[in-house]
Amino acid sequence: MACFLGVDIGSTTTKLVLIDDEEILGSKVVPTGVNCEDTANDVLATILSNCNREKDDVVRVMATGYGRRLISFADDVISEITANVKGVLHSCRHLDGAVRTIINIGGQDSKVISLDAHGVTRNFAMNDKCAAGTGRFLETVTRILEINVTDMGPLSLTASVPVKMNSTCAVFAESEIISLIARKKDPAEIIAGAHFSIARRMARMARRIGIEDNLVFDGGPALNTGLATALEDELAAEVHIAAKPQITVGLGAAILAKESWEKEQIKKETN
Amino acid sequence: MSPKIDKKERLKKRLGLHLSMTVQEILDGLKQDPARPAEMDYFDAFFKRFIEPDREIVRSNGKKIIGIYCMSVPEELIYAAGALPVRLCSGSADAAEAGESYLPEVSCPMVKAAAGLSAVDVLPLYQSCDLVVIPATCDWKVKLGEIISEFVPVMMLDLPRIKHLENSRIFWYREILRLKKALEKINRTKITHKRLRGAISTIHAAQVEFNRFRQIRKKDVHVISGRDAIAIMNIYFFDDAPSWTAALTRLNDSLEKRIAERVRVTPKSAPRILLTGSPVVFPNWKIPQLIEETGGALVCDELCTSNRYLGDMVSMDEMQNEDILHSLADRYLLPCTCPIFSDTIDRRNRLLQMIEDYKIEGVVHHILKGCHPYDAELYSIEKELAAKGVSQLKIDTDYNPEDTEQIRTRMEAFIETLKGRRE
Repeated sequence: MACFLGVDIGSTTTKLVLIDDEEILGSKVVPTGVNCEDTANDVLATILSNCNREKDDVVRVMATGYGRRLISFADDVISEITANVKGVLHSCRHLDGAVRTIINIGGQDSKVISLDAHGVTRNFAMNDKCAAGTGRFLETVTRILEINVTDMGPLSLTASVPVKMNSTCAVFAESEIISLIARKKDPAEIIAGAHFSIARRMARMARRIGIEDNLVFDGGPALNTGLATALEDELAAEVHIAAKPQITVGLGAAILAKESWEKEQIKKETN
Repeated sequence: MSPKIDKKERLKKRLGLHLSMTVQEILDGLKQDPARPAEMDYFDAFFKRFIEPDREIVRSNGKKIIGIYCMSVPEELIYAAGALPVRLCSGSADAAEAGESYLPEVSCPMVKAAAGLSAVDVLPLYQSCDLVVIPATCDWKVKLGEIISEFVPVMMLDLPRIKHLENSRIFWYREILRLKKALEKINRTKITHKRLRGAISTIHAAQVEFNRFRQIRKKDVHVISGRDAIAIMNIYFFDDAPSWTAALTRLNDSLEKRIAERVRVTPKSAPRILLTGSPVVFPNWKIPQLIEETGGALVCDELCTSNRYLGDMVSMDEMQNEDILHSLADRYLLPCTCPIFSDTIDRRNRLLQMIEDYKIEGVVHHILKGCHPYDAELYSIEKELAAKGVSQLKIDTDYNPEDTEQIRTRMEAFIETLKGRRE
């Protein structure tokens, strides 16, 4: 039976999502590494064997993300904006009302996408040039505080007042956090402060293009409940977290692969 | 995620969190400063109220609260009516962000903050005033009244801009009479001759004590930081005058001891700086802190939120009620050096006098984004001061702390230049 692959080569992690007509057959998130094509090939083999499929079952591959043009086995490429919208609309199809705003924070970038009532992209904003206020910034924080990324969310939610952090720059933040530690600030408050500084930056970006409900948050950092709560506070709006937020873009690419293949089949039949 | 919450509640929570983060950072910073006199605790207590659960900054003890903006509303009239004047001008970048949707992008952060605090119910003071009196000073303040009248009762006062004309004096006097009537109505009382004289004496006492504070700052031994001086005046906004005067008296006594013991807050070599321009209000202490962190001694300022506010006294030699009102009206028009007035002579002369009195080595011009009057006036002020050989630095900024490090570099270079000039 035909199945479809979405490959999302991000700056930090590579995401592969395999689907068939009905459901997600398998997905995997791995560090992108030096040779992303080799990485993608290895991961695909694992996914296929896990769900008892053959490589020949994969009838179409759609690549997206920064490294999308580096994957020679991809049939086509698509921008991560389009893939993101597709994936979010699919994973949030049970939500009451239409998704109108998507907030995506990645390893080294962040974006806000505004949709119309029919799910068509109306406008989007991305961070310019630097990785301030992205996953990389969160990584810096965990490294300095010597904690696990997965502990960040729960720990930050125990803070009463987050520490004010003036810089979301991954470089300047380091010296700022070190001076906060020197002042004996509670790590929970420092992490909460980091979350708020990212959220505030995202809220500013979102205000530029305007936000409307429903609002969906995805990308790896969406797994961080502390950041999601901060985002909700900064946007002064309810924030829904996409199911499996790390793979929504890859899923979108897989669905787009399926749609383009199906369109071709219909064309063939009518000819 | 969290259950459905009203948008208004969300905005309140957001601004509340932002304020708490900002104020906590400042309070932490104050704790780290070993050179502060213990008598500052009285003033700090007010700043702490910004992050207490109820955020009640003002304790009016049942008196009506009259909110005021700028420095042209006679506090004496408000005290004489048995009410408490509270100055609402705010320096909160967080509030300015919350107020952005009410005003154009190019407007100044102070009116944005005023709109934000009036609209979002986070500091109860801003929505609980019995009346807010706004003098029509700059263009932004002219429009502020209409914007916040959705949230609080507002009275606009029309301030003439060519202040030395006899017409202006007469016009302004009538505005003061109009204010007097409004205050009498709200407080259901008559502002009698006796009560007005009493109120004028109360403010006089504050001014006399404040003048003693200024004399202390003129001394060669720099005993109180410029930031703390601004903080003290900022608390005058919220406190009732007699309590504030008593607290300042205690501080002045302690500062005089410091002079005798030669206890400095900055090194002896620190160049003496005068800060002038757009208002500096808590929690935006960016510029005064940077001046002293980079090695300057901020010994004087010419700010409407600090030194300028209590500078001039009502002349008390006229005995009739009407004459007192004339003196009062004159006091709130003529000495004011706000750049919204058409000529710059008064401010220029005052700056030159301060430079001499306080042995100033460098002047910092603080220009907030959107504060056009100060920016426009800078052309003639800068030229005049330069002709007298005064070193100057112009800082264009707003309340946002993001440009702190960039300004620090410029300030450091300026202080180094001042030191270099001595050789």
